[in-house]
Amino acid sequence: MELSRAVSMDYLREVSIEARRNVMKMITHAQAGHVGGALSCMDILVALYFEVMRVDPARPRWEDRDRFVLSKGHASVALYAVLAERGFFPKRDLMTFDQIGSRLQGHVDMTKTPGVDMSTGSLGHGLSAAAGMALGGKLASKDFRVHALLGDGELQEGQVWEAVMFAAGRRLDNLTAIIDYNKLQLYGAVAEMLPIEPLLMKWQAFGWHTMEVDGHDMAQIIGSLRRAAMEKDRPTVIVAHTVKGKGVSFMERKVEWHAKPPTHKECERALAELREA
Amino acid sequence: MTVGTLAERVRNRAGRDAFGEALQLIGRENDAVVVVGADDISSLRGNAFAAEFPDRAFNVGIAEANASGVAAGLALGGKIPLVLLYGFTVLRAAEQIRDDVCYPNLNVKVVTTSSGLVMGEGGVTHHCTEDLAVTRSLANMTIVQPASALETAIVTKAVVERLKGPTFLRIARCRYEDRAEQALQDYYLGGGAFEVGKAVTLREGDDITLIASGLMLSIALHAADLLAESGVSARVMNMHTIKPLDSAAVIDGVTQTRGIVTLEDHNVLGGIGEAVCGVVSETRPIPVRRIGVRDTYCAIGPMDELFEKYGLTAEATVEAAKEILAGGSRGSR
Ligand SMILES: Cc1ncc(C[n+]2csc(CCOP(=O)(O)OP(=O)(O)O)c2C)c(N)n1
Repeated sequence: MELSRAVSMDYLREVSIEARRNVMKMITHAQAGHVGGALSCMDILVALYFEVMRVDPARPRWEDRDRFVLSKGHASVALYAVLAERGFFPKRDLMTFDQIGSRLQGHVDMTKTPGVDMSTGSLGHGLSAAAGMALGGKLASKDFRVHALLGDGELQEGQVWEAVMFAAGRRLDNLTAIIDYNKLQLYGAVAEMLPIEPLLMKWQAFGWHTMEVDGHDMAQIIGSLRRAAMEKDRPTVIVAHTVKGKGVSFMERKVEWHAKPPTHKECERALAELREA
Repeated sequence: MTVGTLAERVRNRAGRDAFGEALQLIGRENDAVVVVGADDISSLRGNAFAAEFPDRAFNVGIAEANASGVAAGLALGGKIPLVLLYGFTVLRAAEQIRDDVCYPNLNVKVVTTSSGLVMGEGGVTHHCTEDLAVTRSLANMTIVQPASALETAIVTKAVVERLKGPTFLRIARCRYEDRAEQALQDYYLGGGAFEVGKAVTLREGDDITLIASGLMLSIALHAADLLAESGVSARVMNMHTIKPLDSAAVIDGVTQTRGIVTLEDHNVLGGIGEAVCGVVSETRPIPVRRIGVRDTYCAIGPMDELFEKYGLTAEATVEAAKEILAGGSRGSR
């Protein structure tokens, strides 16, 4: 059953803006959460959940659904905003983010939130679990795809490369990794702290099919995800060039907005900018 | 620097700030001291040290296992590395800490400022109620957990200057509460000494013994106040060194009071309570009650609310103490 709808790029862009607005509101309300890295991966999540992935919000545990692993689990707010927009749970729940007893934890928890396929929060784990899911799909002769989103700083974790080698070794062509390449991590620039370049060559050397896109260009994101699905015998990585804090001018490319909650005033400014966008 | 000056410098500061302050002072006195961080050195307050000694601070990126191995190598080259980790990533680097630091018995200090439930809002992946169980079971490891800003500074200096070998320093990210700050200020400014492996009895008492350290010490002191109101005399012990445990002090509690309550922001499995139980059952069994997280993953929320929810409170401590004294010591809570 094909559940994805053919939707216009304009509509997807509107969804992205609405989800970004909700991210601002959630983080400001909770005075907690990781804003920069949520805004940088938002367009990718919208493309996945509104165009590319086969999902059914009414059946979050549907066996044949495509899977998504948010390996950079601190970007939880982005995923919550998109899942709510897609109808996995009511939007009013968003404002419970990070409260005691809420289903929306600071880092994503699959035992609590409908639509979350894997619990994450400690960096470097997600691709291994995604590879296991993809292998499971093959073993069960299922045709679902698995997507994993990783941070660029996260690539410094050794476990990531164990999973990279494993996925290629097992020819997991039903697996797509997406790198949110926003060039910043928690304490500074990735290139200064521990360079990860040449990035495409690394993945190629490990046997992956590689692509490079503008991570804020919907058409490019969707095109690359579709092409990944046609690749045979090897997994695909999409290196998506993004801007940390994307959409809010005073947050863009600023390392201090990794996890700083905005004041109410700053939130108003951000919402106004997002309204105009 | 006198204890008085040190106390002035760290007054009203969070545990991690006191650590950062001490780290910088030690850095100036001893150029063998180096820092190895894994991206976030600022939340462990290693940034001031890194700014002053850029060629002695190494940020390996988000790679805690590598950080621990690199620290072992630096120690082999005569350096005194402090590895700054999030509490939960001690579990990730556990094998490196065992094989590369503890097994060869190297002079590496592993430091966390986010163990326990202090990152309560981060959710389960960011809670850390297992680190003591893991590190306690590593031979050669010394584990120290200070309970005030001043004690943090004193302990940090002491373990770097005087203790050679693998050490785990478990420091609080937040402020310690006033009760503990005051009690330890009185103790250290009154000439009290910090000795690794030597518990400090902050309050004498002969009915019940309360054993705690770190953030739980103030809760124990509060419980002692509440118990005093109902005529129960509670001894309060600051068990700043969790390993090696001060068995003699525990045995004093066994022979001089009628029961023991332990407090920890950790799973009761593998933590301070079990360490105490080990000593008690090998000497003369008396009732012990353990306040701590009872083998569960905690909800998300601010630390104080989680302490309430999971019974890490003065009230629960009082109740446990009273149950022991009433003889209702059987059955587990
Ligand atoms: C194993 C582990 N170490 C440290 C952290 C703390 N931490 C949270 S986010 C972050 C930086 C992540 O950088 P990156 O992967 O580039 O993500 P982004 O910039 O997209 O937010 C760090 C170090 C963590 N969550 N897990």
